[in-house]
Amino acid sequence: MARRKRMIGPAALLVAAIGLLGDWAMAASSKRLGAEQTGAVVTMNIYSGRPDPTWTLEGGRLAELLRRLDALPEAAAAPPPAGALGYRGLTVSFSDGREIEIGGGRVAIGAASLEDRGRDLERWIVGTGRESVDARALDAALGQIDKSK
Amino acid sequence: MQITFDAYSGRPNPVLAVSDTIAAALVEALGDLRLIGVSSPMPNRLGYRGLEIELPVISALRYGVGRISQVPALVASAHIPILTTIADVLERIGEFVGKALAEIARIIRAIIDAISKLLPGSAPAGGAPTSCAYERLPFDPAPWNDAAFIRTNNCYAYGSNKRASYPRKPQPGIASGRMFSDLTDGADVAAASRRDGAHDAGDCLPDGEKPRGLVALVIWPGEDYHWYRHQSNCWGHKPGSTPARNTDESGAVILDPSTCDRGPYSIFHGYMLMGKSQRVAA
Repeated sequence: MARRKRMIGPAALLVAAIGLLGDWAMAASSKRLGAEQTGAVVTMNIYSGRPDPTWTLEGGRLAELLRRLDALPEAAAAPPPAGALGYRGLTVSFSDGREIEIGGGRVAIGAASLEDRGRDLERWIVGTGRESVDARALDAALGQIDKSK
Repeated sequence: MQITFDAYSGRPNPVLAVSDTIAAALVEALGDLRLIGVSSPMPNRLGYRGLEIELPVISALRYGVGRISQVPALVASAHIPILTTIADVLERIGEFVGKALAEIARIIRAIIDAISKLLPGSAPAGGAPTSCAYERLPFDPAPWNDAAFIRTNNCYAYGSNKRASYPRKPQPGIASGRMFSDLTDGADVAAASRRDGAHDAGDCLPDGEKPRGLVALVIWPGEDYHWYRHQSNCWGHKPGSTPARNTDESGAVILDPSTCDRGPYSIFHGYMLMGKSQRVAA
């Protein structure tokens, strides 16, 4: 019994260490969000009746999202009002429970507002949904972004 | 003066001819209602589309408008209660003042009758404003825009007037066991809503179903559906998780969901009635 314990002990430690290493490798940080994030769920606000499409960003894509977010300048003015029917923008929900709203060339993080010049961040995030979202909905969103660019 | 009821595709439209003297007085009475000088495009559909009023020259000059006014169906029908009041008043005054006013009242009633008769059942199946009784509740967006409800109460919840703490957006057909599956033209969404308790616009709901709402179903082909609900002075709607509103994509107050700016929801499927027992589930 005691021998089994000695054998299981190091194995469990190894698993725990790999687990921690894995978490460390998957997590990404952002000075804007102020906490390490292990994942994000993107919701594309486009439908009135049906559920809006959602997909997950992890690993490299999550890190890229946070890097792009940190690079955005503060915005001075409020975003232009969005239409109500059709593509309206994105909501990104992070692993620590925080949410950001993206649309119309602005990113809202709590009370702060960042400027998404040329709507590049928004377009990049929409593009990450290519494998998960109906192509027509995605193209409608990209068309709307490009129209109001 | 001629008032044409734009309703038929093949047959000549019904026309009401009015003498110039009566017409001048009639236009005077209608002037405040802004029925004249309107030139909105008629809805592109079969059935009753609206009124075309050819004014006497003297009236057109007096109001500085063109001789031909086009009044789309729901703009005209929305004036029925006001027109009825005017006719009542004119008839009463007419008893004392003279027959001319009574004659005007008679013509106004003829207009009301013509509008009322042409509205029900004049469009393709499932697709016309109704002669059935229903309740037009005041537009009150605040309860729908409450943070506790705004996210999951969608157009179906709003259209059926069933605000609740849904775990996700409710869908037509879920409450009755089979959700819609096709978004080609709205027929499948309408069928699913019917299974939940909705009636076609010509199939009246009993008084026990009060408050009964007249709703309009529109379709983004292949992608989504959307509902509008007729309210006191407008049509209200709630696009997905966004706030309830009574304006269209151009910012105009919605008077006719068949012609308002609906963004990508290009197909106007038609009208339905939803009552108190409409079942809505997520």
